[in-house]
Amino acid sequence: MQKETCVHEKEPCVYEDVELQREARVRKKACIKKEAYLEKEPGIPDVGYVQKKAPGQKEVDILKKAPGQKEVDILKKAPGQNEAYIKQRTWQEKIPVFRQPIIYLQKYGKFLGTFNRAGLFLLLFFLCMALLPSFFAPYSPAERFTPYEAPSVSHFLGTNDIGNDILSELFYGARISMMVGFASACISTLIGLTIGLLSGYFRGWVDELLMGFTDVVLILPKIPLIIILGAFLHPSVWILILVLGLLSWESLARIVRAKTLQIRESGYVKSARGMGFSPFHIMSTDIIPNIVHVVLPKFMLATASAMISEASLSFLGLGDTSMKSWGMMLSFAFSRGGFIREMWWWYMPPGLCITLCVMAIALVGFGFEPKAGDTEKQVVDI
Amino acid sequence: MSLKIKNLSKKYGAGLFSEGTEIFREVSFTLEAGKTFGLMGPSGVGKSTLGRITAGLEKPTDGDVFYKETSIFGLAGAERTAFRRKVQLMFQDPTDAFNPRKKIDRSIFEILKLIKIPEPERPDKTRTMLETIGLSEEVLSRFPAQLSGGQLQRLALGRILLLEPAFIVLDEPTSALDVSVQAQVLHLLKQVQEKWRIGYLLISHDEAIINFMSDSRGLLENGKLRVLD
Amino acid sequence: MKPLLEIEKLRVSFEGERPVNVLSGVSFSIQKGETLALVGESGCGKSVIAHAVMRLLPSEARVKGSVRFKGTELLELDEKRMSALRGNELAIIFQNPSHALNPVYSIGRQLAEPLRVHQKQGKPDPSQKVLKALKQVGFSRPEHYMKYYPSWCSGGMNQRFLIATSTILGPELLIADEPSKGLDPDRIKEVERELRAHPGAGKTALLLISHDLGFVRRLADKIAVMYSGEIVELAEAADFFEQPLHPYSLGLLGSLPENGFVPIPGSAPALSDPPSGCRFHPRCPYGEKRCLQEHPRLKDTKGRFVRCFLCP
Repeated sequence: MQKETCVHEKEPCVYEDVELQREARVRKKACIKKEAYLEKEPGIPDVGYVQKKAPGQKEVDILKKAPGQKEVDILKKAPGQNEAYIKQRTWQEKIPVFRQPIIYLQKYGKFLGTFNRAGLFLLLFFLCMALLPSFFAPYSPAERFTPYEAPSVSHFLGTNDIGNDILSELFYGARISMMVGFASACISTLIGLTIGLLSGYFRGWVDELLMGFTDVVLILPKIPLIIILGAFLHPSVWILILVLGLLSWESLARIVRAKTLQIRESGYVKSARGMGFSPFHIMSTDIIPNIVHVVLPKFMLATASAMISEASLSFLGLGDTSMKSWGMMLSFAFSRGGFIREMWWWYMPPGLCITLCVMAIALVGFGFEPKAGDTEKQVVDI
Repeated sequence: MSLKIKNLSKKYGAGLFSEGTEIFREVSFTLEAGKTFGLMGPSGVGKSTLGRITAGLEKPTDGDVFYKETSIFGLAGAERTAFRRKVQLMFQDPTDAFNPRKKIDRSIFEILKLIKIPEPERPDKTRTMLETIGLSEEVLSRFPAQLSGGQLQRLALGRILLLEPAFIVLDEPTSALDVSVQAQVLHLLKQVQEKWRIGYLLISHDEAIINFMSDSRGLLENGKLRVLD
Repeated sequence: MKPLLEIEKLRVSFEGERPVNVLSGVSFSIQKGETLALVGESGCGKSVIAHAVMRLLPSEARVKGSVRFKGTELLELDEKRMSALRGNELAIIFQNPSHALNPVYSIGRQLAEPLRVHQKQGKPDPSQKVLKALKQVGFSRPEHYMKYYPSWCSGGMNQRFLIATSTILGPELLIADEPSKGLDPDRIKEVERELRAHPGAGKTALLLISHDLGFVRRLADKIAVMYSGEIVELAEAADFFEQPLHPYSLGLLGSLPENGFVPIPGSAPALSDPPSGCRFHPRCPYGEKRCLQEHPRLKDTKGRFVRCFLCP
């Protein structure tokens, strides 16, 4: 009986029973494996093994396969099967770029920590709320009841100044808040990604021009500008999305550019360029898949910050009064006496929803960030 | 068919106000089809830069490279693309040679698509290529991280061979490999050369490798190339 | 004489979706002042031995067997006593010198670091010792270089600093993990010189891990050839180079430049799926039927150990 020691624990520990069990399991597995191996045919070469040669024999023909036993090659064993395999693989080339994040999610979903799982769960909850408000909400948001009602069985969170049910408003507000967040994050990610890729890949004057422009946008005072724009243009959700999206892409562009510059120097991009692949092909299949893990967390954070911006702008009265988001609800609660009357059921829920939703999005975003050793290095250095 | 390198000079960082640093000056040699020119020299003398210029990926400060008697830096459009395919580069680090997020088959099929091989012929082409480099079809379904350095370097060569190049610039092709794998790769390179009469520009700091592989040799030192034989 | 380091039946496996046995029962020992070289292709598990001795393996590693250093079982030491040993009596030189040195501290400060950590006697100024160490690795003006930062120096100089850092306390066992990998011949010679002439040379035992037989030949007293997680041949260096016994050793020597780059066919098997019987049989030119089925033991023939049926 040999002792097993956990190297990283302070006290040496001996797993007697566990160890026995595992050894039995391993032995069983090994037996099965061995049988399978022998069934195949002894001496079938491993991956990469084709030819055979005695040492000292100087003329080595790597191209030619040795006669006899080695003729039974993996290549020839099941030609039909291999054919099918190769054909079946061709669809893979057609995976469009936009599916990459989904594949990424499927692949690395299991690495999400507990917090990230909680975030995902919360986010899914809010998404359901945003997608199917009529399913959850007890009333239509336009329906009117007695104003300023306290929470009761018929109105869980009471009613507001014009008699709308606050709970229903909350459910319908989710859609607007999250739409603003995601739509403006989409715009800013798209712009940031394009500008970062172009300037990182082409360098030279393209880089100088685009990065110069980025720097100009970077130093614009955002909030005052948004307030002024919001005041001059008609307050509408669409304008808000556009303004938030167009003003928050610079940091992503910077990061994408830095990553692109780095990946551009890697062997596979250099050889792809040498082989004559188009810049578009290289950017979409070689560079983007390798920076997704940087872009996704950034996208989530952009969503969260856009939601906060929307809430604060709405609170300042620059929101769209026809589309009641959570921020708008807060604003109304403030201006129509919710705070003075201490109607916590009016102003607390939207505030809480914003906080939780932003937190959920940020947590999910952090989950996308690669943990040390997960994605970069899959093989332990031996 | 040959690739003539004539009086190449390269300076880095030369601008309006600075002289720049000279990497090498007036380097001339000729690559012949089916022959190997071995380029030696200590690290940092610009061997790799010379290789990149030969492949047309970088421009020299002065001098010219002639392919079939025409200057490669004057080429444009389709001619340029054709030249790019004819002269290929192979790099030192095999672990870096393939996109880590693509399986090998995808990397290979993309190349076949690029050179307009019709879809039904692709599996055959791939199989022939794998046979040439001595790997089994199993490697196709792997990610680069799941293959050894030797296997990846063979695949990097196979990938280049799909383009049917006339010349290959080998930039330290084996210095990241183990001694035993290095021998395999060198033999494979020789075999490929005999079969398709490809001309090699072999860049290495290891004299033994150069002596083993080359038909003619040159030593790049102090910014000058000395052709040894 | 009792050996300095004694490794017995060391098994390491990495847990994962499929557990991988990286080392399957490795035993060897190093005497005081001796140089033992572990040779093999990358992926054969040689670096894992170094990391197991230093106890630097990642947390998914499971270690069995015993590693005794001066009679102390290293695998059972607690972390505090282990870190007292590390750097003081056991030292390791990693592969890449530019990553192993901290770029924000000066060379002098980094060299003094092990002195500060391990020798707490009231000597506020360890610089004399540092100067001496730098002189020993061949710097003519050490006081000048003490103010340098790693990024100012070439890779070769950094490698020398690194060796000076590792040996400044005069460790009894120095582990060098692939010190020659990816270097050009001039720098390999430099490294070789340093490994011979570092402060503790002569007293310090060296465990040299490399795939380069030419490099190892000039330094090692004993050679252990590893293949697929086990030792296949262990012999005195002189005997080994004169007459290698295992077919794999023969192949390795054949692929050296001076022997004409004759390759061993095929490639090393994956550790997750080693072949049955002798692990080298798919590539062995002398393979017999029993090589496919039986796993050979490490046989002792006149002080040499060989894992092959064909050896007398």
